[in-house]
Amino acid sequence: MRPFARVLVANRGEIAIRVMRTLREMEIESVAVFSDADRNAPHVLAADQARRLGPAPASESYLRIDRVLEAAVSSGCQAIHPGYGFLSENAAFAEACAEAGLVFIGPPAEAMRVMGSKLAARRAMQAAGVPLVPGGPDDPGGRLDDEALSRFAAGIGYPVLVKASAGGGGKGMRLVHAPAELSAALALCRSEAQLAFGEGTLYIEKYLERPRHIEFQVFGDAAGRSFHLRERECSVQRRHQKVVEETPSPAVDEGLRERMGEAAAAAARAVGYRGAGTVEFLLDATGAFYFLEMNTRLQVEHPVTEDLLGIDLVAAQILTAAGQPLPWAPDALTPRGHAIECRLYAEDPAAGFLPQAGPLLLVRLPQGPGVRVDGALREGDEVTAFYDPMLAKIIATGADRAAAVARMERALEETIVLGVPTNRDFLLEVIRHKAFRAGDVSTHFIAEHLSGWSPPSIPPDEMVALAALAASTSGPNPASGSAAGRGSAPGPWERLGPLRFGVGERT
Amino acid sequence: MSDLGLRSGEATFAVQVRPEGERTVFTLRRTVGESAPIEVVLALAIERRGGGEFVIAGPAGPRRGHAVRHGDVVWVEFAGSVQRFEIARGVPRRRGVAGHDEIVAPMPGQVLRVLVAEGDLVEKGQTLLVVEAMKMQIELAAPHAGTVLSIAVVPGDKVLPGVPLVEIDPIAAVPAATPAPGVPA
Repeated sequence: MRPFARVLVANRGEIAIRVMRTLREMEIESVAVFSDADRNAPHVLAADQARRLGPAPASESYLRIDRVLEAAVSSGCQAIHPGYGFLSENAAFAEACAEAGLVFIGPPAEAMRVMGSKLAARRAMQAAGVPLVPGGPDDPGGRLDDEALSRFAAGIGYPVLVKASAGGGGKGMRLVHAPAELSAALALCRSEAQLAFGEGTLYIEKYLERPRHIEFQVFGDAAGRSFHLRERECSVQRRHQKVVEETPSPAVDEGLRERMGEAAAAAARAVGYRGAGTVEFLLDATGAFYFLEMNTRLQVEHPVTEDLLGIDLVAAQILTAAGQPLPWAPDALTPRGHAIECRLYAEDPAAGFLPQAGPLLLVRLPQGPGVRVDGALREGDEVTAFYDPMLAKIIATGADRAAAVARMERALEETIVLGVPTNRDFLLEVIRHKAFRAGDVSTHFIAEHLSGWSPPSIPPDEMVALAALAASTSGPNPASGSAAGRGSAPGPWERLGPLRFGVGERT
Repeated sequence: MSDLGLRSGEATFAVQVRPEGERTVFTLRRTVGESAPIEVVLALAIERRGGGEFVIAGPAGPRRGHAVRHGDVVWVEFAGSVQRFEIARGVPRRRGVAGHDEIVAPMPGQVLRVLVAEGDLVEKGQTLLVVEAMKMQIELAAPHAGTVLSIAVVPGDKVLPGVPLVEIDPIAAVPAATPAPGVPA
């Protein structure tokens, strides 16, 4: 029995397309939503129908609960899949769906609310016996002023992390080494948190030296059973955002997996979790692990779990939301070798990984055995500053870690994007690095091994020759050259002078 | 045949291209910074395929590269790396007045706060403004001590990368140590 006849996907880009692929396979009609910047975007074309939400800024389109609900109701949908980001962890949205008679394909609103507040989550995890990073204060008892936070920081000892209670993805977060730096960091985090999450509550956490980021995929099925689907190692990060993810983790053996997995499942049970979620831990060199946070949604890096276990997590989410059983038993799943994911971003690794925008003049994506690409990039499209700069996820699987890593190197070599700076060359450096090959990674991997990385300053002669050919044989006007500029007036990319990066920004 | 000018990072190239039978001969004159130019002559059998693809014949077999032009920029991919070249047109790149520092937007975003005013003396590393993009706040700091000559934006302005935001007239001495003339010590 089809769980639903028609489902709205309240997202854009690669994740919207990824969800729609599963909907199509399940013979469920899909409805896309789009902003004015995305009128003919790949995710719009991948759906059976599409509805406009509003102008390009996300706050006027993809974050507008009223417009998303109206689109779902007017197109006759029974359910909404939120993807990740945007409204996916918004408890009010989940409740509004229910009030509009729509099924929210995600966890119960209450679980989202608890896990969405770092302080409430810490309290719930403490009660469930899940190990926590020393931090707090756990009982704010009203507004936390700078003095209370500073007393607390002194108590647990520097260095500390200042975090936004409502935060995530590295936003509203600062590392503070000494008491003198604290008040400036508090002010910055508070305003960043206010801006990003509409809420400026902060808390302080002990900063662990060289931890690994290990997370567990958890799932609560329709019958109320909670279980884990093994770990993902996401230690290679820049700006507190993940770049490379893999499963299994080179640092997790069967015993540790059992202990961490049980803690992860307990975390999910403690909040009555249903559907797909992720419990994130920091793992230190001694094998001690600490709860970091729970993401109450499908994770960007979910494909490595899917490819390792041969399952479709989006299908599992949809079946569970409809109250139907899963087509597989968690105990019967057998891991098949190793899976690894690299995130291809429009960013400049040599300039603090700042997001970049520009035209996609040439796009070549990898193919072949064991390679999966979840992306939404199309030659001739423009990468805009409105949305996340991730272009695609490249996922490689192999019989073991070495095979998966070798396959990833090959896949990255096949990946060519011209027209906007990307991190491809940097990803190749990571994948080829001796320490990475040895599985010796921590969240400081990039800072320790690849800080100050930049592409070769003098290009090889062949490159200059190719540049000269391309420069001399196509017209100076982009209208006659590239696909992106065809028939249009010169955009800012032609009018602007050379870019200058890295002017005193902080990391 | 006239030279074609290309620039990539600190390196500039004056390139002459001429066909010679089945090959194309490239004369590359490379200048890096202040050092003397180095000239290289390359004879390559290059075939231009569709869609920005080029095939270069080599002793170990043909190799593939990609190159596309967009306005005055050429993007090239070859042997696992990507480079961006600017086509030089004999016009100096847009810069502030000689000797002045221009603080430019590092990425597309919105100006959140302007923390200095025109005429202010600023110290090296002092935050001048805060730009917000993708919900990240980036502080832009003064690269040198100096005087703020002009501020081109107000909070709320949307900016594109490379757009000049603040212009600073650098001064060599640390302002704290040497009071400005006319200011009582």
